Amino acid sequence: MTNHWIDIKNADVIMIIGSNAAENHPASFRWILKAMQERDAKLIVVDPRFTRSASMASLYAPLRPGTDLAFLGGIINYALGKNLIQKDYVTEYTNASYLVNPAFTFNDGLFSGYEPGKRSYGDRKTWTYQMDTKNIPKRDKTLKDPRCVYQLMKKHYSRYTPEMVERVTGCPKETFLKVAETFTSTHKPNRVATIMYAMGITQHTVGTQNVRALAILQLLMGNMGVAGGGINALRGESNVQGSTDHALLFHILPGYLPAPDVKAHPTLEAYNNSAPKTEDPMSINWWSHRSKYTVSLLKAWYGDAATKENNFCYDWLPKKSKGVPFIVLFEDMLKGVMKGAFFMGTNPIVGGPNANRNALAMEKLDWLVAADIWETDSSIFWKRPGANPAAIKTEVFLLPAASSVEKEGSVSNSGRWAQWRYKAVDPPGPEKTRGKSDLDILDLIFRELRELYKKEGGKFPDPILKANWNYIPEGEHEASPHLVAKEVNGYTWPDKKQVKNFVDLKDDGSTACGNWLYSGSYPGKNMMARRGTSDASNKIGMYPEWSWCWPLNRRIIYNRAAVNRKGEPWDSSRWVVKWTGSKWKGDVIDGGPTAGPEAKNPFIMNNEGVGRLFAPGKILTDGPLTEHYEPMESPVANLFNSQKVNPASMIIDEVRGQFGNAGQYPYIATSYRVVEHWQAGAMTRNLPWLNELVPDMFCEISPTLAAAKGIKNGDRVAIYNARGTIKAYALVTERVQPLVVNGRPMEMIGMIWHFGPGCAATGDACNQLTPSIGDANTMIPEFKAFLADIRKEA
Amino acid sequence: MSGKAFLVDTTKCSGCRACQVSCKQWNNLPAEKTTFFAGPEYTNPAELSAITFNHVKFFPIDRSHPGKPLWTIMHKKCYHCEDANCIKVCPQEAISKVEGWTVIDQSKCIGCGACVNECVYKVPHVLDETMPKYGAEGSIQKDKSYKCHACMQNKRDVPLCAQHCPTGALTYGDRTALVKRARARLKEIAAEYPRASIYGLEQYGGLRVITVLKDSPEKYGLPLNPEPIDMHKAEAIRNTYHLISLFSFGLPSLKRVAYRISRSMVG
Amino acid sequence: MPVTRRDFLKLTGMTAAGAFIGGTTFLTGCKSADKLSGTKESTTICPYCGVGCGLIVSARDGKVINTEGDPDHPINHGALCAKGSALFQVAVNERRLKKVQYRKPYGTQWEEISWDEAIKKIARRVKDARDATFQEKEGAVAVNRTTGIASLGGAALDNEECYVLSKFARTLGITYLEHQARI
Repeated sequence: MTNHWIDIKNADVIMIIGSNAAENHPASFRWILKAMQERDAKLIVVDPRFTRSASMASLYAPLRPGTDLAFLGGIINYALGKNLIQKDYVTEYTNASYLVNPAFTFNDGLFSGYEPGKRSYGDRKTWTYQMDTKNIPKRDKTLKDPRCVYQLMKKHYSRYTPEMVERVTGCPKETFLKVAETFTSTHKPNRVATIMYAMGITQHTVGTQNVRALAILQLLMGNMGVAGGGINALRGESNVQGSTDHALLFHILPGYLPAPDVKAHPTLEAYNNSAPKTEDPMSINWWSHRSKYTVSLLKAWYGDAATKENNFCYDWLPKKSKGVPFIVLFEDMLKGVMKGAFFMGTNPIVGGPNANRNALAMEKLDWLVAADIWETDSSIFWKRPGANPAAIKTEVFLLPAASSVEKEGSVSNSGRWAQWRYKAVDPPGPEKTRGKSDLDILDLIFRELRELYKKEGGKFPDPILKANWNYIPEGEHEASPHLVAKEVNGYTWPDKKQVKNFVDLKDDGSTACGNWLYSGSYPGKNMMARRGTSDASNKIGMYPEWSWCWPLNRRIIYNRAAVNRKGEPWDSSRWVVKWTGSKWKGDVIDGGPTAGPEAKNPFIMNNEGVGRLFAPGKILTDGPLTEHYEPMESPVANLFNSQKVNPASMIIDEVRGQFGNAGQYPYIATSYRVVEHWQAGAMTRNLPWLNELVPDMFCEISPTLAAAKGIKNGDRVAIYNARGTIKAYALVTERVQPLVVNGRPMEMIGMIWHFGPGCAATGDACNQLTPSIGDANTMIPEFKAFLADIRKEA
Repeated sequence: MSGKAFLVDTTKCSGCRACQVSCKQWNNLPAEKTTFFAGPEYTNPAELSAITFNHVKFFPIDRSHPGKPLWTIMHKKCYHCEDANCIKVCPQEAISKVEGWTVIDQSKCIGCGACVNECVYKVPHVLDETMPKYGAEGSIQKDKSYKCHACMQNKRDVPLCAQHCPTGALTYGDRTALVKRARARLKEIAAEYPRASIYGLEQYGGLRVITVLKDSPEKYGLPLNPEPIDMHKAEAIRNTYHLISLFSFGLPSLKRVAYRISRSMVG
Repeated sequence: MPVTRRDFLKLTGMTAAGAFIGGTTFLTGCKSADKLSGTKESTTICPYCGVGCGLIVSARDGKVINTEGDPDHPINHGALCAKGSALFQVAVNERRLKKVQYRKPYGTQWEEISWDEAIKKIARRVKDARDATFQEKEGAVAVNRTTGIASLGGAALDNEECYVLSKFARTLGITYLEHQARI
């Protein structure tokens, strides 16, 4: 979230799209309802089903799964066509006025530079700005130049008419127009909209572009950086924010530093040189500090071993030669590339796409270490229904873990607040055998491994022998989260004095910091444990003394955009920051406290310093502007262009034969969650009180589809496609309705994905049906739109 | 009518069922065994029971409603009638008012089912099988009647169901203030829900659970003018029961038969 | 005068800060509920979604007696959803593992082994896999990585655990590193 949960109360319009917040983030509705009741805010819910969120909406708009870009492109076109944009904001704080390379083109769904044989856009050299002699992008602040971003967008989005929106998405034109009108009412400086989204936006072959479309809309409306605005990704797990910040992903290091790549970063020098650059004096370009964060990370990891002479052990970091997102990782596992795996509190046999295939991949492992509070579907994959344990070689260690109330540490919520938790009790069971925290488990394994390398030697033992790894306080026996948190915050080297925040970090080896974004969380005092309940001077509900939020306890990021060039808030009734002529008041200002509003641009993490309506260069793999493509499995042709699927999405050869068409599997299928269960179910399907509420795997279908298939409410049904067949109960409900797409009614099968073969409440996993294809940029799987058929079970 | 009350505002309920679970936790009640959904939409279990004191019912969606489809999700618990049938008919005087709340004293209850029969809202239930409490010592005895006691038995300042409600759909406070708030809410929602209503202001001398509804009470199975049981009739039933139950040998099943006979005899 | 839970927590705001220093939780003087008499209270954050609601955990004799919304938490003000309200059943649940479970290759059931044995065996497997697959160079470039081991998961772990897992994986040379954020 650029903003945070409480800030939703400051909105005039709340658009929930690709999220079902009433079910998956129920506490958010406290703040939504506050806005509705106290500011007469309007709640727009856009969703294929009439959900519990929709039941609370002022305005509900249905749409076909996988057509968000048509819908959002329609709103962008409505705003541009009727000039419903916040002109001053757009001119000053976005790249609307930037002139684009004359060689950049868009033709029938393809941007310039496409290489069909490679299904990719190669070097993307035309997706660039025209530069002046000082190497600063050329601008036309009148927005009239035909090559300026604004004019290119007007042309690009003019195809997204309300009629086309209706034909493609199935949302009736009148409903769409009401949404467009309500949303764009926030282009005025004294009106603000927030957008709440989740996996309904990201889990598509065009997921990143879906998020881009939301960002474009919010920039056009002037809704970024202000109270009640922002684009707010609703995180589904208590610490998926923190686990991402700390880089449990192949492509990044802690604090969103890039993971070293063989070609791009063969040396530390090359790595540091790859940081974004700018010649524009108006741009803060915060990433220009990157080398300080990198070297401090290397010091935190390798301690005294990391010296200037050996490039701070940069070469000790593993370098990747290819991307290994989840889908590729499991394909490689299936090929037998890996010998072993760690599953730390995760249940991929239910949560990953094409789950039957993932289970087969796991059988190829020699060993599996799983840490969990109880048996999960994944840790018992070797005795799942249909498997023959006697034929599965995998050695499995299931380590009992401590639950969240049995250990101490912090978790980061969607609003980036790192909040400290305390230990209430020990894990259940006898002291000698009972569960341990994941921290303790990792510490034990690492220290044992270090002993082995000490004793026996082995391949490249230095990182293991010399790592800065001392987490057990003197006189104690267990690793301390406080010692870890202090390292994450950073300290001077070698005397280990806590640094105040990341401004203190250096690239000469004199500081160590595990994650620059969290620098400031433990400068001496544990800021994450704070419980102050006073609000800040702007009284907008930031509660700056409650816990701590990254970066630097800034509660609303890009807050320089909350004021005009004079430093006056766009709306003084809910100001975030203001400039007094010599200093900033309110929230912790973005980009340093001394630069005034006229001196620097607000979007400090972009090297232009402004918001990107047009995403230049290599930022994205699939286009600088958004364009509608159909999901990989779709029942209709693409009405916008002759590319059916996102032309840059990667197709893995091995699963090509598993994709189906509407002739074989006529119904649109989608997957989602309910409030009573959580994710892959391992944390809820063992809780009797929740199983009482939702005991079984079920799907939702319309009365018309039910009638056509002879299915009654409560019947057992089979849902199937080329990847698998699953059984479920059918909930026949008026909340699901066929949508008329290009003149034809289309039915949908909606499924929860919480169930699997393990735990107390068992059921088939929806992900046995989902395809192994993902977003062109992130490879997040397309869970939200695929094809299947359904039949009544005898 | 003074004292505390609950306000259920169905226009604010998102159906998260925190109330249903919270009650089970505070009172250490076991879960019910369910399959699929026992009631409309996500409703589970079908109704209140001897181990479910808070219940959320999901009504089928009404697509004919003017403006937008109407989906009502309604919290239900004991309404704690001021003039409560159950208190009047209980032959053991096991049910009484505590701080205005209707509370069953299970140590006196014989499981005759009188309260079950006379509650128009189908709130109290007699437990068939003794069950262990969840997460606490002891068990929940069979052949006793159970229902919401507004946390009078496991006392707390604000009942956990109301404290946990994330949207403010279920609140707890002074009844006078809540009635005022319900009336104000009715005005606020008039445009969106033209048939909206308030339930619980007068029924049985006034209920301690006031419900703001999106439509008329009958739509949700709530009787507009239920007749409180006549004092004399209740006394006659109790007297007859005392006589007949002498032959029940202390067996709860026979006591229930005795109650049914007495009731039919009194007519 | 009886102290309400809310007032009480306000009074103990300072105690809560002191709690982390001593590593112990703070005692309640809450008299409003017999159920909670003599319990120790500590605060926590809900382990489910990303809202980050606050809870109070009450424990007596090392057992969790009650979990409920933290009235002073600025986001949830004491409220929770169905999942948050059921947190008690995560702590108090007969399905919780109390010993390391081990399944030998081709085994048909779990066996119980000690922590010591498990850690020793795991370290051995990790070393063998790493040593057998370790790649120091690709062409002239140092890559120092192992393709023999994958690590998945972490979105339910604490920040400190995620950070240490990230460091653990990179120190070993693991590049097959993914978690729930991708799915």
